[in-house]
Amino acid sequence: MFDINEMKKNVSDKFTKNIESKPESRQVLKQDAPVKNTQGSNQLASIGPSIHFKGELTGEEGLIIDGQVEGTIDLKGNQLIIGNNGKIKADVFAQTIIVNGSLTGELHGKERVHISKTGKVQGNIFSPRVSLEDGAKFKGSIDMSETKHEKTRQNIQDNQLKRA
Amino acid sequence: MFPQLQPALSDYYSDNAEPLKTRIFDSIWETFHQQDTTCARKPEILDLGSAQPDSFNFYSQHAGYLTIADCIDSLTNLTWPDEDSPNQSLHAALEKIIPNTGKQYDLVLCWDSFNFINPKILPFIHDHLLQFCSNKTLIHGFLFTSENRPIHPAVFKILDACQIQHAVTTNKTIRHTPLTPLAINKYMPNFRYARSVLMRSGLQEFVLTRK
Repeated sequence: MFDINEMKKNVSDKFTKNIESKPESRQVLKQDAPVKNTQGSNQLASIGPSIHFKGELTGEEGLIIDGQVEGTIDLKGNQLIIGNNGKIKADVFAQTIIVNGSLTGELHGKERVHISKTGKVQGNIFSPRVSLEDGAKFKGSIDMSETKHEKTRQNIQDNQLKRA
Repeated sequence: MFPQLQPALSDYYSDNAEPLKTRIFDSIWETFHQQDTTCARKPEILDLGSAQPDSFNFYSQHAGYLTIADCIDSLTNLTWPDEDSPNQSLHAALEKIIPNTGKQYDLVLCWDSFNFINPKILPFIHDHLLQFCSNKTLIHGFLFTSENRPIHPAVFKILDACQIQHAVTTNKTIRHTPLTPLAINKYMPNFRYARSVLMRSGLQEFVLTRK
């Protein structure tokens, strides 16, 4: 398993500067500011454009992904932002999910899922609120009932335990 | 041979056109709302068109489960295969275009796609759609009544149950033989032509019900 807190400590200054220098990343943060994670801070952990991660990514704070992730992302009650350069092939669990890049997989947004004009999503969305900007691409199914959101999360976790 | 292109249609089919007044679509949702209060279940929708923000707003208020297939271009580009077993090839192609989600939908929205699909392929689409249909599934769409039609399907945005905005992506038109809901019924034998309404815009709104 991969822990975001652990990873965040290891992120170099250079890498952080890279992310912050990207105007689109700043725009996303500005658009949704102030973003608070479960620890009460406004900071988001970040995965930069050069990072390619495979596996199970869990954490208890907000995360912005501008790199590539394959597997599962579980941020519990926090926000996930897929940056313009982000390429995700994963099942995603978060409080709110904002997609500016591309994502293939299941999106479980406890509160809402938003696909921006640059976002491309192929897969199924489970969330009580789903919004889409003009120009966004989406292909898949949307289930807006909240009870199914929790059920599916439990099913996926059960399957992962079985596989382990 | 190149298709004969006609001058642009009159402004009834343009971005600035008035929204379509969709009486059948409205009555479908009225029926769903009545059912919703009695069986506490929101309708499940298969939209063959692309994802549109306005439609999303509508669906988020009124639909329980929604599939956006975004497959109209793929369906209209399907050609009759030059192979020994065209049936197998077409069934395989359709399986890729509209994968089986295991759902049975209450409403399938075809928009204006039937005007652009090779009629020989319609029976295969019918067979494929059957697996998504219960005995109460409705198929809703629009047909051109004029002998000219745009060369590409339009984009449809649901403003509300009785108003749908359609935006054309080209002003070039082509001559065609207009289909009627009854002709569509011939290609889709497991559905029954239920109702159609002629619209001022040169389109005909129709709904088919499962037999």
